This record gives sequence, C-alpha cells and structure tokens, in this order.
Amino acid sequence: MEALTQFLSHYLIYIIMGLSVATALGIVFSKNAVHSVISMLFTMVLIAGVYLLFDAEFLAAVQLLVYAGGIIVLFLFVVLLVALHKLENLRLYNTYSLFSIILVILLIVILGATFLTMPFGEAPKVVSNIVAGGSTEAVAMSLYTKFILPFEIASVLLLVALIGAIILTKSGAEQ
Amino acid sequence: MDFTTAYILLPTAKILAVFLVVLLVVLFLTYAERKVIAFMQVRLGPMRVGPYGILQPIADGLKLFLKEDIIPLKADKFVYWIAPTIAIVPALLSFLVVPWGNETTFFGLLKEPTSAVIADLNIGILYILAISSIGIYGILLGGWASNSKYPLLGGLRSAAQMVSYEVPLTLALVGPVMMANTLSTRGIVEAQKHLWFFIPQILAFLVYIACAVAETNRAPYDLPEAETELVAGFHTEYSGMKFAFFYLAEYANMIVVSAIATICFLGGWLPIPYLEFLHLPPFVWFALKVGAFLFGFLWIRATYPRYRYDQLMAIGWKFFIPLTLINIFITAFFLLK
Repeated sequence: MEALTQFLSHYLIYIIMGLSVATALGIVFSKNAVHSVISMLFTMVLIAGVYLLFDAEFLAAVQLLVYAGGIIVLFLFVVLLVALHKLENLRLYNTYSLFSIILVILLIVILGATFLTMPFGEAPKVVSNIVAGGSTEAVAMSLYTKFILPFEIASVLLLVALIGAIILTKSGAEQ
Repeated sequence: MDFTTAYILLPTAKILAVFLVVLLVVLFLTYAERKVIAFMQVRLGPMRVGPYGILQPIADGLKLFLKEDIIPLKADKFVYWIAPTIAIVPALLSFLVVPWGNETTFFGLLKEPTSAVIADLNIGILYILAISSIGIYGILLGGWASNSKYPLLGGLRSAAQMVSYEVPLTLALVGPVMMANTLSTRGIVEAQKHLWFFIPQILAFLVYIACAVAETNRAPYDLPEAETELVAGFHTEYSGMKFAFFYLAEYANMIVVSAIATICFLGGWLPIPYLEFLHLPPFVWFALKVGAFLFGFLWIRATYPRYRYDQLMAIGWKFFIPLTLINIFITAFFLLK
C-alpha cells in the first residue's frame, strides 16, 4: 500500500499534466466546436488538479469556480447559439496557415526562453512565511498588501470592459 | 492507527457510509415528495407497492433499470452519453466535505474517535461551490446532444438560470464565512456554538433559501422543465438509467444545498437550543435539520406557481445580488466595529 502511495505522490502530477496536454490538443483538433468546448472544460478541471498538487488549494477552487464554472459556460452558450454547421465550408479554422505557423514558433521561442531563464528554486518568501493558515490566507495577504495596486488596476479594467459591453448593446438596441 | 487503516480503510469506510446513506435518502425522497404533495392536495399518493406504497421507489428504480435505453438517431452519441455522468458526479462529490458530527467512532467500531467528515478541507465551502458549478454542464450538454428543440431550449434556460443564481448564492455564503473566519465546514459549525448564524445573517439566510431552490431547478423556479412550454425540458429525449442519473442528480443536489444551509446557518450537528436535554447523537440533529429543509422544498413546490422567465432573471440580478452585497457590507461593519 505504501508503495502505491509513493508511486502516486511522485507520478500523479505527470499523469495529470499529460492528460491536460492531451485534452488541450483535443480543443484544437476537434472538428465539432461543442467537442472543443468539452475538451476545454476537462483541461480547466485538470489544471485545477495541478494547482492542488502544488498545495495551492485556494487557486484550484477559484480555477474551477471561475474558468470551469463560469467562462466555459459562456463559451458553450455562444457555440450552441451559433449555427456552426452553416460555416463548415468557410474553412473556419486555418485560413492563415503560414502566418500562424510563424506566430506559433515565435511564441514557443519566447515561452521557452522565459522557462529556461526562470529561477525555479524555493517558493517566494512572502508565501512561505504566511502559509500557516493555508494558501487562502497567503493569497489574501499578498493580494491586499504587496500587490494591491495591480489588483485594483485589474478591477478597474474589468469594470471599464463591463460598462463598454453595456453601452455597445444599448446603442444596438436603439437603432 | 497504522498507515493502511488511516489512509486507505478509514476513508473508504466513510465514503461507502456517506454514499449509501445519500443514495437511500435520494431513493426515499422521491417517495416522500409524492406522498407529501399528495397529502397537501388531499390525495393518497402511491399506495399499491408495499404497505402505504413504501416500496414504490424500489419498484421505480427497477423499472428505470430495465427500461430500453433509447438514443435519438441524430444525437451526438458521445456527448449524449457523457452528459448524465457530468450531472451526477459533482452532486455526489459535494458530500466529501459535509460533516455529520464532530467526531465519530462508527457506533463503537473504532477504538479512537475520528472526525465525522470524509475530508475536512480548509477550503470546504469554496470546494462545494466550485464542484457544484460543474453540474450545469450535464444539463446544458444533455439538452444540446439530444438534437431536438425542446431539450435545447430547456438546457439553455437552465444554464442561464443556474449561472445567474450562483452569484447571489455564493455571495450569501460570504456572510457566515466572514463571521466564522474560516472556510472549513467543521470550523463554521464550531463557530456557531453560542449563536446560530441565521439570526445575525437573516438577510443572507433568506436569499440563500430562495437561490438554493433556483439552483436545483425546483418549483417555483423550474422553468427548465416547464412542461406546458418545453415538454420535460433538457431530459425530454432521455430514458432508462440515463434519465435516472439526471433525476438522482437533482435530488442529490437538493440534499447538498440543504446540508450547506444547515452547516452555514443552522449550526450543523449542534443540538437545538433548549432541547439539549434530549441527548440525541449529533448525526440525528444534523438529519433533523436537513430533513426540515427538504420538507420545505416539497412544501414550496406544492404551494407556489411557476415564475415567468423575465421575472426570474429580474429578481436574481436586480434584487438578490444587491441584497447580498448589502449584507456583506453590514457584516463587515459589525465585525470591524
């Protein structure tokens, strides 16, 4: 039994990461848009699993609540309400192959360079000092003390986007 | 306690116990629903199978099990198959953090008492909310995969309703969490030793009840399956065990929201004040409170007519959400004073 637990604690993270990459590929290669959205749902749930294995339980719950529970529902709504079968002949997915290949290679280079130069060492000091109360308190402490300014800027940006969306729908209704 | 007992046997025993109880309660909740509504309408309800029809749910279960499993010709087979599973798994997973007592020895089976909850997560309440938000996909995808117009409309309505009412539901639970200063379900119950939270949090409590009914798609918020407009809503095309899964998920969700209400507002397993002299075990108190909520669900269904769809959305966004936000401000004001 202990051998099994040892195995799981070492390799579960790789299993979950592998599955999340597989489902992420499913998003891109599904011919049916609804199947893409389902793959995306599974990817989000699996990413929450990855957070959980890194002891970030608060982040995992928020990942499920916001991405899996909220954003994917909106995606699904749009996909269900648009008659995608009418667009099948339009080559919806790969119109700019050469251009996108260049962009993707560029992205891989940038991400790879960031990954290689990133000093993956110990966890940041802020978190490890306050981690006694679980990651919920640690997140709250760093969010509302050290990172209060970026946090507030992000909230204002979201508010602007919200108001913009309301104004756009309003002007459409008056015409 | 050695390693195998502590990490393998004990959790498995707890999981089996909780699932057995939940499935039995779900089974007899369908019977209770038919009986209660029948009595409220001066009828007898099921009477034929067993004494007073008590074996009716078992007969129903057997019937659903043996029924032909019909898949519509133009349905998306994979999604049609996976939707009932997506509906029921989150509903059952929510019971992971529902505590039915402080400590238990399983009626003396264990030498040393263990905590009466499968896992005491330090994000308990957040976990239930996160997991139950996945359940929407079962309904939405089931409605789409049937490839038929009534299920699709029912699924879309249901998803819109559940997404809208999730917001005030979550905000209503912020009040008790602020007062208990923890997200753990056991911690929240223990913080109510002196005063149950439904007294200081009466606003949140009332909003929570209303939103809980909407979240489980029950009357008077049962627009996703309004039979006069949408036949049976998202599960019109489903039959056999797939239909039974949707049905089970709905009743399991009813128990989940009742359990959360009991934990956050009514003191969980703590005895009712002035009735402590009865010395009932904690799980009996817990069951009594959850049972009262479940009866409330049935009572509401027998009493109120269905809302109109625009009324439903207007109440959710323009009344419940501002009310819960006001409640958070009031709670914060009194906590910081």
